[in-house]
Amino acid sequence: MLRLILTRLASAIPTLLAVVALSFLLMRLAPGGPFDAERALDPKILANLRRIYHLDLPLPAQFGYYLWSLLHGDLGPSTHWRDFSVNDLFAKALPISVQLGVEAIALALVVGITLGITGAVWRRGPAAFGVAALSTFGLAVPIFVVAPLLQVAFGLTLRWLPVGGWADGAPSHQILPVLTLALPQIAIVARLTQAAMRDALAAPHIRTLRAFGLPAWHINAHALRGALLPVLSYLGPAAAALLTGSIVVETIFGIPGIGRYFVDGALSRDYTLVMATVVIVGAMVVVFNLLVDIAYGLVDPRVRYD
Amino acid sequence: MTEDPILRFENLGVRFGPVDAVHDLSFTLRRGETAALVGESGSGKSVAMLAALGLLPPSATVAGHVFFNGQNLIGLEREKLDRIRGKAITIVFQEPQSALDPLFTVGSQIAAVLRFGLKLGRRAAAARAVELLHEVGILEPHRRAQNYPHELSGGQRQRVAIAMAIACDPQVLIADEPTTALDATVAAKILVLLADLKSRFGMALILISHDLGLVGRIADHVHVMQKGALVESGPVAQVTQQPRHPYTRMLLAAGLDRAARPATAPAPPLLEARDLGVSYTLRGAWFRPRRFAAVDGVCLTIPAGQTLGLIGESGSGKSTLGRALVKLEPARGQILYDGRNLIALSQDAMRPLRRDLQIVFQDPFSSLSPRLTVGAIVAEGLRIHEPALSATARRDRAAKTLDEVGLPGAFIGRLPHELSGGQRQRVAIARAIILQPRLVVLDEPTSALDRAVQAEVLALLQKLQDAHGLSYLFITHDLAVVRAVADRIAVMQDGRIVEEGLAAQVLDAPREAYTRELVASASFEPVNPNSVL
Repeated sequence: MLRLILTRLASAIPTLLAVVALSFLLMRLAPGGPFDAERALDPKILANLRRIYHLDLPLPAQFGYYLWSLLHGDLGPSTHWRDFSVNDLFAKALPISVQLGVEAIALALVVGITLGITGAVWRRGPAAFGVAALSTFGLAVPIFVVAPLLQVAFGLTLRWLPVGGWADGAPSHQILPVLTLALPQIAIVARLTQAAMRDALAAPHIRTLRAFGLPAWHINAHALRGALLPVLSYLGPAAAALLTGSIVVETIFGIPGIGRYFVDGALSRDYTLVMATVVIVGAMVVVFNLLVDIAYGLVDPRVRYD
Repeated sequence: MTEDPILRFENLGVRFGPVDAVHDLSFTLRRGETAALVGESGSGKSVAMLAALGLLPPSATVAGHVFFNGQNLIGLEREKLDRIRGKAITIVFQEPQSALDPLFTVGSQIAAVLRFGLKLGRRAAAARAVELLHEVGILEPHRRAQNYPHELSGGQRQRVAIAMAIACDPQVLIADEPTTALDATVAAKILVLLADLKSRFGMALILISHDLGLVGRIADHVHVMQKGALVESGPVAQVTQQPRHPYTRMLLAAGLDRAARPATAPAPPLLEARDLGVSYTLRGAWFRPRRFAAVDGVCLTIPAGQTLGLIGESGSGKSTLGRALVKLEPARGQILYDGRNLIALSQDAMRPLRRDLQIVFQDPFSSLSPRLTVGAIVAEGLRIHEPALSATARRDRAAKTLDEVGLPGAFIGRLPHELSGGQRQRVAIARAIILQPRLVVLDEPTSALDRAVQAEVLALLQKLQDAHGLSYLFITHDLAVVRAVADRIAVMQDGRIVEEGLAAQVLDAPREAYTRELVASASFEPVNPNSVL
């Protein structure tokens, strides 16, 4: 197990390095720069700015500078929000996005798996139909449609919940965004669980359990353990995506997470900000895939490492 | 044995939509009796047993009655049925690999049966599970109980399944082809174990099998099923010695040892392997990859125009050797063919020789491309080896070859999934012989087929050998088959050839202990339940 973790972390280094190098290059290839504006700056000021941000150096040297500070945990100064470093921006925004993401995943797992089991165990009848309808709805209706509908229903008409804003994470402000984020995930998790659970219930070893007259709940528990494997595989990339914030949800509900930095940073050619989001998403993907692999080994003894 | 009936099947019928799987099945099992239910695949044996235990999918319609101690099991509600199945009536399935849950230790799976069946506490159930593992002849039961199914061998897994089945001291044990997935020597041990447990626990035993010879060794009564109906029933001696129904006679003829082929004159070697070795690198510790020798220092001669039988248990390296001989597997050593060493040849230099050396694989379901028509599959080799042929000429050759293997011309446009197992294997044979090879490696070509079909395919292979002077390397674990086809036999164990000689000599007067064990486990003498496990 320890060997798996070490090997994975070791192999993550070249992966992340390649991701950083590629996005670094792509950003520089994009036309325009961080200091282009409607009204051109005084060339002297521009040159000064470029020197301060090391943009006057040749590309390899810029990359070297960037890597060096990255290794020291410094994501660099933001060129767009010039009074802030990227570290400052993320220190405020990332915890908010992570909190939303964790809550959404937890909700998606609990509701999705429950629905999936229901749909697989009572495969004929209203329960299975309800699961199918709900998961199709969750997949088909985009969140930028769901979110305003929820705002209108619970915020404006019923007046139960605030329409938007964060209010330092007051619980009532979290409900609608988490619900919106979780809905498509619930649909996917429910479908994955349902399909896997159906296959698991048809497996010969489940027939063995029935042949031995074991109670239904025990049989379903056996089947569920096998059925969770595909859900686990999905969870790695899904978690990385959710925890790094959703631009749509954060914009609609006015939440100061890091989702908006994705777009703002790219549009204003804020090199360091874009690079930082890439690095963080990359690292999250690596970490979550590793976690999934470890969990896989715990659930399935056949892939246990060593 | 008393005359006291314990399980009575009365006019049991099972339908899957329009398909009649079991038809009007009636027979009685007495207390302490061993009954064998025999028939080929699809004859409805297993379906009948699954119906009795309420294990069929909802798509099945079940009619008739199965009385257990006077209570009808058909249509019984689940709670009542669960008090009987797994406790009073238990079942052991064919495939021990898939019948056990891969995600739980074998100890916990046995313990679960004890906890729910006998209402034992957690600790008592775990302790009893270890005892049961000991009971079914598993060594180091404490350690094995902590193992997952994939960490055990096939024979050990089947023992675990049997331990689950005897956990609640059942009155009836149903064993559904309990030895079919196992090697001959292991199968014999499992059969002995079942016979032994039966007498110790005083159970009645229903043994489902396609092999009349095998079950005849421990059964009291035999019931023969064909196409869902019972065609013959009676005491084992009567059914095996004076079979009345032609189907029983066919099963017996197919299952019995046939006379060995008449001895043939020694033939010059066609292909010779010298010190052949194949090894694989196992994923092991860092920097220290472990090597596993699948084939180790093998010297082998294939006589021209004759059949060399290669026997041994699964995992002994037979198939790897067969593939290595036609250079489908990287190997060390020498393969001498036509004065050349095949090992030294490059892939390009090898290509023209490939038409001489063909192979037919065991599984006719996976060895044919599902997306090509039969004609395209058979003619494919011609595209490479006779590129000058026109499409029409290729088609003609394919049609002619199909005719030779006994398939009607209309099959040329069909897809593999439209064919039966036997027909597919004929296609695979046609694909090999269309190139007019000199050697055909036959890797268990009949193992996936029913006995009757097996006999037809063997006859076809014989006919082709006589007509074209083919040499065969016939790989099989089935001694009855090898006796019928081989001129010489080589016995393989753990990657080495342990014995080689004329067929009759190897089978009737084996020199090596391993060969003697193989031959003994395939014989049809009754099993003595008191013999050592």
